[in-house]
Amino acid sequence: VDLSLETRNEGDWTVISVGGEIDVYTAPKLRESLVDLVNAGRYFLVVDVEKVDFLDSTGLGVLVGGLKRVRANDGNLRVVCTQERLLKIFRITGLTKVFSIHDSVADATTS
Amino acid sequence: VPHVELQIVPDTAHVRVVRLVAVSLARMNGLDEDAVEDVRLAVGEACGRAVAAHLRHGVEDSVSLHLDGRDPAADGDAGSGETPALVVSVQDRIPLPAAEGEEALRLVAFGPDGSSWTADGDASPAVVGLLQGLADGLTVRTGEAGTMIELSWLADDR
Repeated sequence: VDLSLETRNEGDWTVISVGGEIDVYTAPKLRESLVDLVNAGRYFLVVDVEKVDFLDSTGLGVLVGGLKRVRANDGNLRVVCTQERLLKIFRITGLTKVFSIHDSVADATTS
Repeated sequence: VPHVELQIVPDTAHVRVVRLVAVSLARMNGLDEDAVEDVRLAVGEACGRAVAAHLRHGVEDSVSLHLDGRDPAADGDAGSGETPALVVSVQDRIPLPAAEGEEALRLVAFGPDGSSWTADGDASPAVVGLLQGLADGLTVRTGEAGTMIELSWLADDR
C-alpha cells in the first residue's frame, strides 16, 4: 500500500486524485506534486481524497502548505471529501474552517 | 495479558507497521471499529512524531513502544469500563525540559521556545490536538531522557 496520485485539468482547475495512505512516510510525495503544480503556474487546485484510506497530521500539513502556496498566487485549494473518518480529522484539528471542503469534484470546480 | 514491545529505527516507513500492530491489538482486546480507527490514527501520530523528531535531530536510537492489552479474564465484570482495554506508550530520545501534565503537553505542542507549528520544527499542536481528541486517556511526560506519550482506550464507553 502506498500513495497514488493522478492529476488532470478541468478548466481553470487542476484536480489531484489521491489514493492510498497519506502519512509521515508518503506525504512528501504529495508535497512534491503540489509544489510542482504551483511552480508550473497551476494555482487553482482540487485535492480529491475520496480514495484515501488513511490521513495523518503530516498529510494535513502538506495540504495547509499547498493552500498557502496557491493563496500567495491569488489561487485556491479545495478539498473533496465525504468520508466521515477523514472529516473527523479535519474537525479535530480545526481545519474545516481553513479548507473549503466539497462533496464532489464537480461541486468543487463549479461553486 | 497481551503485551507487545517494539523498537523501531527512526525511519518513517516503519510507522505504518506500528499502526498495524496497534490496530491488531485493539481488535484482539474488543474495541469497536470506531475506536480501532482512533487507535490507528493516534498511535500513528505519536509514533510518527517521535520518528520525525529523531530524524530531525540526527538521533539514530530506536523509538520504543509498549502496547498492553487488558487481561481477558477481567472481561467478566460487565461495566468495569475504568480498566483500559489498550494502553500504548511511545518513548523518544530527544531531551526536553522535565515536565508533566499540562506543561508537558504544551512543550510537545509548541516546543520549548513556544514557537508555533512549522513544517520542519519540533512543535506539533495538530498532533497534540489529535491525541487529545482520539484517545480516552493521554499522559505526557518530558525530560532529559526524552518524551513519553501514553495513550489509553476504555472498552465500554462507546
